[in-house]
Amino acid sequence: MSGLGSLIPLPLPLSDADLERFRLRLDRRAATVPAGELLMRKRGQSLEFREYDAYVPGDDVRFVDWRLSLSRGAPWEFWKKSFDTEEALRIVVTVDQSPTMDGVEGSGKRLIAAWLAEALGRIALLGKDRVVLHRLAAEAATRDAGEPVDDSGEQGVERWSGMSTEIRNQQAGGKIRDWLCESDSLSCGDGGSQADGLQAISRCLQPGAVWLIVSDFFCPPRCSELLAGCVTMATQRRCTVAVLELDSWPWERSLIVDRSCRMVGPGVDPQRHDLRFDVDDALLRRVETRIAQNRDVFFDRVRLGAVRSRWSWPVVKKLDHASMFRDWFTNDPVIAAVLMAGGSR
Amino acid sequence: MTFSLVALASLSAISALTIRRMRRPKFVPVELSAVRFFLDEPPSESRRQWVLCPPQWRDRSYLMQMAALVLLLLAAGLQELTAPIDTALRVDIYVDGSGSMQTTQDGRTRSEMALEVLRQTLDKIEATEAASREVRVSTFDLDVDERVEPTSDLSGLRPHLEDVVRSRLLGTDLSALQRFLSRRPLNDSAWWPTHVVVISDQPAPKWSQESQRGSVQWLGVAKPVASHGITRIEPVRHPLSGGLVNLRVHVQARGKQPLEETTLTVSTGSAEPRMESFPVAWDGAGYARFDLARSRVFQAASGEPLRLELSGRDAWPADNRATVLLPDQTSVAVRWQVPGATVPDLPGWSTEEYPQVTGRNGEPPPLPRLVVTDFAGCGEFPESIPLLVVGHPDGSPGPAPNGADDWFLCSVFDDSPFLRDVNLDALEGTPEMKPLAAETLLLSLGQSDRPLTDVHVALAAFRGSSYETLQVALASLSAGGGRGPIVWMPLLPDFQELPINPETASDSDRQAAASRLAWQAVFLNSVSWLLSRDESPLFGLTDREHPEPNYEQAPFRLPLHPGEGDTSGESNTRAVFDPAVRIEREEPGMWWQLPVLLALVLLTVERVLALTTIRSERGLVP
Repeated sequence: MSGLGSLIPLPLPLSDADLERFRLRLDRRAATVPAGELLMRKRGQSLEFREYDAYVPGDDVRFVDWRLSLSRGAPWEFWKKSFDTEEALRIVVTVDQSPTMDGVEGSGKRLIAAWLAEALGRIALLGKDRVVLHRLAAEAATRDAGEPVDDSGEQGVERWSGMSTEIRNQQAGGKIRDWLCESDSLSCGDGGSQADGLQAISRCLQPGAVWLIVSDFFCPPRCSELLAGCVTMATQRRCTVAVLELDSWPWERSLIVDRSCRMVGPGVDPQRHDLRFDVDDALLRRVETRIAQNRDVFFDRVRLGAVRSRWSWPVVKKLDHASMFRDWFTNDPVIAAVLMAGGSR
Repeated sequence: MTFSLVALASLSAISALTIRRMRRPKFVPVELSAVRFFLDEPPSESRRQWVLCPPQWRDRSYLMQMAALVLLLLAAGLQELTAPIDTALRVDIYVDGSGSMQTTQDGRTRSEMALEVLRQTLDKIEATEAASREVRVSTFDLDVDERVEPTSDLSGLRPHLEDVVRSRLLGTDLSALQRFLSRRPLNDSAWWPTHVVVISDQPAPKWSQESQRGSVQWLGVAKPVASHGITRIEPVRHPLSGGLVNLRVHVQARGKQPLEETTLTVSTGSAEPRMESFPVAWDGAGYARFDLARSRVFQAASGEPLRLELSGRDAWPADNRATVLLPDQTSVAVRWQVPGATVPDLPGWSTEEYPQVTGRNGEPPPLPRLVVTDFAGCGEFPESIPLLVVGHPDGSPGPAPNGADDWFLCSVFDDSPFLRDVNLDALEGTPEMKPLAAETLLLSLGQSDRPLTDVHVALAAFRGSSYETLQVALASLSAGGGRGPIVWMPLLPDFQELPINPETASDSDRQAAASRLAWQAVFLNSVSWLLSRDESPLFGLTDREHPEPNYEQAPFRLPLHPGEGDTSGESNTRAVFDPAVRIEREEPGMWWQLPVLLALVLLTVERVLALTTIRSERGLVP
């Protein structure tokens, strides 16, 4: 693990009291809404009768209402009883685990994302909601400098990979951060699903779920398009989608103090790419434009229904990640929207 | 010397480090998460380039190297600074001993005043606190004499100062003093002066204040006083013959006091002394000039001295009198090679026999005398007198004159002084001239291996009395002792008028006239050349070998050095020795401040640029 590893073990900079305060906000939201607002009309196994349905082979014979079936007269026609069930709120947190999230030593993008996932997970578990954690990583094909970006989306060139896990009990909340940071590269853990990471997340996005995407959006355009399609599908399922962009570029830009630099970083092989530049303002402006265009590939497609926010790293000599996180978490509208998602629905 | 090497090496190293740093390819690795967005940018070439503001506080190796070098320079410089300070007093004193120091001024001579200044200087030296006190005393006039070796016994030196400081009637050569001071070693010398003092009546020259090691203390003793004297004596020669006909004497009065009535007395001869006085008519600038006609003033026999004396006493009397010896350049001896030859009538030329004095008092002959002797071998005359030998017109040079071993013909050329103003073009067409001249030239030069000397010359012209052709050739005598210059001619020219009617004259008449004119020109040129051979000076100047003037016997030596009698100047410098004005010894390590300053400036500029760059690129400053 890179230098980021020294940041990962840091505990969540929010106290239990802070988390409890957010839980109370969640409870108040539940108390103020009409009863049944959170009920998802699904056939379940609660004791509240919903309706009679015709029995089909394969149904549980224990729910056949024999009296009704006999009174209706037809010897081959059976009626069974169905019941309503109440489903708890499900929060799906997708954390971009691409190598760019490791970023520069000390930037702490991955740590901030882990803290965020842990905070939301623990708050949700306090409210007896369910949390689905989703690790996602963009796989981009390496290419030579000057070669145009391949937007063809060829399989195996630019795609998402990832895995998800669902945390149901409160005792497992402390393992969220560990699970998110257990490996530099994604691998299939126990109980997880691999293959296409977006397929894994789509199964979790049931109606009413809240989906928070945390990424720096440095992923290739093809990956952005795929992710945007998944977000569109989620909004169609009446899921609440919130997007949180981690923007560390202002701080990384301040690291370029030498006029002549050799750029290194994730996804670029220094043996193949000779990224030596005489850096000037024009070059940096072009790079910034390129970053914005890459980001807009996603946001231009998910404009409707997505709550968006950007956490920008300050230009300071030494970053205080804990202070930054506390400030962002308590004041950010996206976080408020996620926590109030049920109330707004 | 050690520090010089350290400073030089350090400065070179600092410069090399900085240049290397500014020339290095500074592609510093920067890790970015957004690095893939740089892929579309064309990379810069890996080239070395000049960058004025390379950063960088984190480049600690460079900073440490620079700091080490600067500290090295400072350490070496501090070592020089903390070296023990030389508090000794070593005074090098130079006292003017030239003739002008005998000028009387306020009842005392300038030498006495210089002696007093020297004593005051010694008093100052003794009164100055110093680790040791040493004095070296020298005098200077035309050169520098070291009179007293460096000594610390100032009390023992005082009684001998009058013997040490004395004036002689010599000139003052300040350039010699300057050369002496510049040559005298100050460094790497066992005794190098901390002070250089010059006591003189001359104004301080510019170089004395421009010394890089500190100014020379020039203590002046001169004040303007009235004085007159002879400044220059020069001969005036006759423009045609070259003989000395006049003596020009320049006199000048200087000083602020009104000029007194002054006379110039000229006396000649010892057996029959003659004396004549002339009042001096000063012009507004205090200048007067006398042209003493030779015929009027010097009627004495050849070799008699001529004495000049200005009346009156003044501040510097050494230039009030002079004695000169005039060369006898008024006569040319003529030696006839053929017995019984008739001397032709030369209008305006005296032909009285030697040694009779020709010319009458007050009526000088317009031309030099031709002192005609008898034919060859007859008669005696001083060999120092120029000799004109007249040979037989058959073309042979005849017997050699007294004191000559041999003589023979050789040629002269167009630029010869004998052919001056001779119109050779008018003689063109004479068929015999050029072959004869060429033949003579070849024969004479080809048969002789003796060197030609310009004081033994003969001139020949040939082809009968009509001078139809003019053959000019030189004959050279072998060195024959102290004989004076000789010119040989076949005949004296005819100065009788030769009327020619240009309209009726035949070609032969024209050639005869041209030949006659040419021959007359050659004759006059020969006489002029003979008389101008003696260029011995009228008098000599006193020198270090003969510092005392000699007015009585030849060779005469006079103290008339240029500028020495000028008493109008006033000293423009102080007259008191100042111990605070020290001569700085040229220490090779004292320039350490320059490299240290350069290094610090270089480092400071680099650091300021680096800081500005960092703050600007990080957006900490607008």
